[in-house]
Amino acid sequence: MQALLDKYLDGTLTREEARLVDAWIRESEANARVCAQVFLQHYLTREYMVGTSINRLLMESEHDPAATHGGDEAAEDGSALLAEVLELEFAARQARQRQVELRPKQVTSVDTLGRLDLLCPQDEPVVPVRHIVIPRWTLYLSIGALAALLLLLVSSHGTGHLQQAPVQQPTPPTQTPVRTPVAYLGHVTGGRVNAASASGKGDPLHAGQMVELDGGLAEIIFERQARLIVQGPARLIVRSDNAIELLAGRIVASCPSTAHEFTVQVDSMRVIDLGTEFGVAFADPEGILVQVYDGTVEVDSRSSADSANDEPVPTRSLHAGEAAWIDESGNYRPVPFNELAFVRVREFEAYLQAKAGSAYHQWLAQSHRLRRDHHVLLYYTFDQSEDARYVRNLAATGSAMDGIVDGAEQVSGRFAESTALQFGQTGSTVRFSVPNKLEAVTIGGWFRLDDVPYLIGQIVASEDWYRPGALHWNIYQDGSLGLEKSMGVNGSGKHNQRLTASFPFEHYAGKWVHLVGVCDTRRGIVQLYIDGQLAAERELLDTSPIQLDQTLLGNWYGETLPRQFVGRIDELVIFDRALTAGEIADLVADQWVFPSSP
Amino acid sequence: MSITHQKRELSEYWLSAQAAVGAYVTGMVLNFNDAEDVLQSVAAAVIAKFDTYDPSRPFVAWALGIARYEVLQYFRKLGSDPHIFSSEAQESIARAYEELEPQIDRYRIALSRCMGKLSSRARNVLEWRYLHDVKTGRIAARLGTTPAAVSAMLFRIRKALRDCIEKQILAGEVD
Repeated sequence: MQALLDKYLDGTLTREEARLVDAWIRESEANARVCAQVFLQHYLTREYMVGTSINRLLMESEHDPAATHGGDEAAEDGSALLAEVLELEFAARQARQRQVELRPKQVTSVDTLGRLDLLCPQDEPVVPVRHIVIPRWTLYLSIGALAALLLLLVSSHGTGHLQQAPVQQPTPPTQTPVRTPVAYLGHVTGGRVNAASASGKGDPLHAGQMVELDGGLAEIIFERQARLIVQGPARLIVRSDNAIELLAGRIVASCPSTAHEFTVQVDSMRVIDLGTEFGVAFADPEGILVQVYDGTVEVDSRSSADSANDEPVPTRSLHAGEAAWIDESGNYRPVPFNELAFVRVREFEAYLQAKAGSAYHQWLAQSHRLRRDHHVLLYYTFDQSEDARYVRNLAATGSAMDGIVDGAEQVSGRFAESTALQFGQTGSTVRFSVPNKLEAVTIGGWFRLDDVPYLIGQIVASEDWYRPGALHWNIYQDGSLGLEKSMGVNGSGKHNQRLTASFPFEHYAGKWVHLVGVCDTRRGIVQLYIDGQLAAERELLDTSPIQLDQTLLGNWYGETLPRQFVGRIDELVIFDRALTAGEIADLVADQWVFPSSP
Repeated sequence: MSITHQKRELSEYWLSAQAAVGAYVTGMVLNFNDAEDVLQSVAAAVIAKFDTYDPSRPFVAWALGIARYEVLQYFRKLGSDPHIFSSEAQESIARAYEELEPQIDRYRIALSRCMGKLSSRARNVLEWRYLHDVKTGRIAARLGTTPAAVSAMLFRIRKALRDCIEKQILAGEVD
C-alpha cells in the first residue's frame, strides 16, 4: 500500500487505485496513520531540500563582503523572530489577496530557487535575506517559515515582474498518467491470477500493479524480455519493465541479455541478474532463498538507507549451482542446491504441453511431479548425461542414490525426446544403494523386453539375497514375472516367499510395458501390476522390514547361472510406501497432478 | 496578555504544528508550489483567527481544521476537484496528524541524518523531484531511463529513508 501512496504523491495513481487507497485509509486508524507518516516524510523531504538549498544561499551571503554581519550578540530570539515572520506573512497575505482580486492566479513551473531569482526585480537585492543574521540553531528551526516568508516578501516586491511574465493556465495538481504496459501476463496453469484487470494470457501489466496468484503457476513476460515463472500462492508488484517486488511466494526469473540487471526486490534486499536463470523465495521472517541455475546473480542485502546508497558496498554474488538464505541484516547461510526448490521454465513448459495433450509432455509433467514426491526414494529417467558412467537420482533424496552404470548403453527411450538404458551385453547393470529399512515399497518402471535367453532375467535384485528383507524382481523364461522377499537363512537353508504372475514373452517382446511390484509388510501383502492392472497378489508371511541395500538393476551375480536382463529400461522409481491400485494406474496413464509449493 | 507575549505564544504553537499542517496540505495538494501557497494561506488564517483559538483544545487540531478548509477553497478556486480522497479519509488523515505531531521533531532529525547517508545520485533524484518539482518523466529523460524506472528508484529511496527513520526512532537514536 505504501507503494500506492508513493504513486499518489507522484501523481501517477489511477482512479481505481485511488479508490483502493481511499477505502484502505477509511478502514482503520492505523492505516490513516501510515498514510499520514508517508505524507509527513514527503513534506519533510521537501522541507529538507528547500532548507538546505536556502542554507546554501545564506552561506554564500555570509561570505559576501556586501552582506552585513552582526555576530552572535546581534542574534535575536528565534521565537520572537518567527512571530515577526508570521506577522509579516499576515501582511503579505492581505496584500496578496488584493493582488489576486486584480489578476488571475499565476503559476510558474520554475523551481523554487529559480522562482526566487525570477521574482526579484533585477535592480533590487534580496534585502530580507542578506540583512538578517540568524544564529545557526534558529535557522534550522525556522527554515520552513523563512522559505515561506521569502516567497511572500519577494512576491509583494515582484508584482510588476510577475505581471510581465507569460501568463500560464493553472496547472492541475494531479497529472493524467500515461500508462504504458511494462509486462504481460503469459500462461496461467493450475491457479488463478488476480491483478486488477489482468487475469489471462496477454493481459498487460503496468508499473505498480499487484499480481496475486492463488496457486499453480503463472508466467509474466517483461518488456525487456525477462521471463518470470511465479509459483503460487504468491504475491508481487510489477515495478518496471525490468523489476518486481516479491511480497510472498517464489519465482524463477530467466533473463536474456536484454533484461540484464533484472531486479527482484524483497523488502530492502535486491537480487540482481547478471545474465542468468535464478529462483527467489520469500519466507518471512527467515529472509530470502536465492538459488542460481545458470550464470550469476548479485544479492544486495543492504538495509535501511544503505540500500538507497549507490556507493560501492559489499554484495554477495551467487553462481550457478549455489543456493543461500539471506536476511535483511545481511546474514548469509549457504544451503545445498535443490533442483526441486523452484519450478523452472522447462518444467512450466512441460505442464503447458501436458495440458495440450502431448504424450511426451504428459510423461514429463508427471516426471516433475515424481521428483517432488517426498515418498519417492529413487527416481531414474536415464536422461542423456555427459558422463554415461552414472545415472542421476532425480528424487529429493539426491545424489546418495545415484547409480553407477556398468556396461549398459544409452539408447532412445519411449519417446523420441527421451533416453533409456540398453541391457544385454553380459554383465551390464546399474548399481545403487537403498539402505533404508522400509515397511513398504513400490518399485516401478518402463521396460522393453528384447529376449529372455536365461532361465531368469533379473530386473531388480538386492545384492545380498541371503539377508532378511532383501528383494528380487525377476522375469522367468517360463513366461512369468516374479517378486520375492528373502526371509534369510536358518538351519534348513534359505527361505523366501515368491509371488508370480503370467508374463508371456511372445506377448510383450519388443513393446514397452509398465511393471510395478508392491511389497507391504504392514498390510502383509505383495502385488504385481502389469500396465497398471493388478496381475497377481498374495499374503506376505514374513512381515519383517524390507531392506534393498546394495542393489543391482538388470543383473545379479549371486549364482553361477547368468541372470542378465536383455532389453531397455526407460524409467525406474522406488517409493517408500505401497501405492494404491489407482495411483499405479495413474502412473501408467502419465496422469499428472499439479505440484503444490514445497 | 501582551501583544509580544501573544506573538511569542502563536509562534511557538505554529512551530509545533507547522510540519503536521504542512504534511497534510502537501499530501492533499500535490503540486509543491500550490501546496506552499495553500500553506501560506493557512498560516495567514491562523494569525487572523488566533484570537478565536481555545487553548484547552490541541492547537494542531485547530490548525488542521483551518488547513482542511483552505485545501477545499483551493480546489474550489481551481474550478475542478481532482482531489481523490473522500472527506472521511481526509478527516482520518488529519486526526492521525494530531497523534503524530509530538513525534515530528524526531522524524525531522532522523530524516536529516538519513539524508546524509544517501549517495549523490539518490540525492540528485530527490532534488529534482522535491526541490525542483520535476516529474518522473523529465527525470527519466535526464537520466536516460524510463519513467517507470525512475518511479522504482524513487520508491526505493523513499522506502530506504522510511526504514532508516523507523530504525533510528525505534533505537532511540533521536530522543
